Amino acid sequence: MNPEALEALVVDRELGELSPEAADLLEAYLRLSPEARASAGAMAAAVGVARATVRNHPGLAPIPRPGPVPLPGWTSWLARAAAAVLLLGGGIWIGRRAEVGSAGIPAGPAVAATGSPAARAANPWARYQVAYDARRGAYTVARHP
Amino acid sequence: MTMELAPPADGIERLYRETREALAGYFRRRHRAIHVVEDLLHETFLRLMRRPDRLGEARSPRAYLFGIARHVSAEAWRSAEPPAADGRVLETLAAAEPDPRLAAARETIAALPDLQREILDLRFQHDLSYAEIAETLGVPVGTVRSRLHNAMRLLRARLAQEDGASEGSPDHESRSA
Repeated sequence: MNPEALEALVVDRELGELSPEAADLLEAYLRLSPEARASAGAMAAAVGVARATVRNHPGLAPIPRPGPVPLPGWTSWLARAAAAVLLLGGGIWIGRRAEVGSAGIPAGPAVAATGSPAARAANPWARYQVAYDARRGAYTVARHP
Repeated sequence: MTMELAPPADGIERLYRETREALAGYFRRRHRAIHVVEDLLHETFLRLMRRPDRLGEARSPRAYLFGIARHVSAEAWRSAEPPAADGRVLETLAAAEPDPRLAAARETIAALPDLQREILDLRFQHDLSYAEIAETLGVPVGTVRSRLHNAMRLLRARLAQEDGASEGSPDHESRSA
């Protein structure tokens, strides 16, 4: 067995990814070869050190990369100006629609107050108000502010 | 904010109870603030509820959830809120490592590419199997296995180097005498 294959098998064994039959064969091989046994011991120790290091240092977990690189100067300003125009236009349009349609429409259901932290942790939906609409066969979810 | 969701699949609340701690631990390691962890946990399950059919298709519900959690975490970082903005830091980075072997291991792991460090984290901290890691990261199992083996080989070589250096050090010699 070449050293790389042996190391891979030892890592798999240490991580519980080796089948019992393969583990038995590996054990038998190691019994016959003191040199391989020493090498396997060093690799098993490395796995143990890696486990301890990862567990003791949360900072080693990769942080997802922040968003895409921002656009260069003038492009960025152009995009902001376009967004401002869209927001302004959209706001005026929505305002006019609301004025026309507001007469006689009852207010929607109020969103319940946020529960205590303990209550929120107790179930996955505590931060949301969930109502089932049988007619459409779907849930409507409102997130608490 | 309102949205419509498909009816919940049976057992999602049970899945929540079973995986809540593991997922909270995952978010804690990446965000380190109580309120953020709770929000991200709930966001993960909300996303699960949007497409519960996909949960049935997943080979491992746990791995599928970790996959969602990974996206949720990345998006939270993209929102550019600084971690622990409220000052309630849950964990602090350890100070200088007293054991030179652990210090060497830390250096070696820190120098690995992101994917490899993520594989190590999912395996050693969250106890995911190779197959679950592959499903979480959306990569072949062979990739998980080879990256892990490669990381262990690098670490073993570095530890051997460290052991050789300490054996030759005056401190070691005085201890052996």
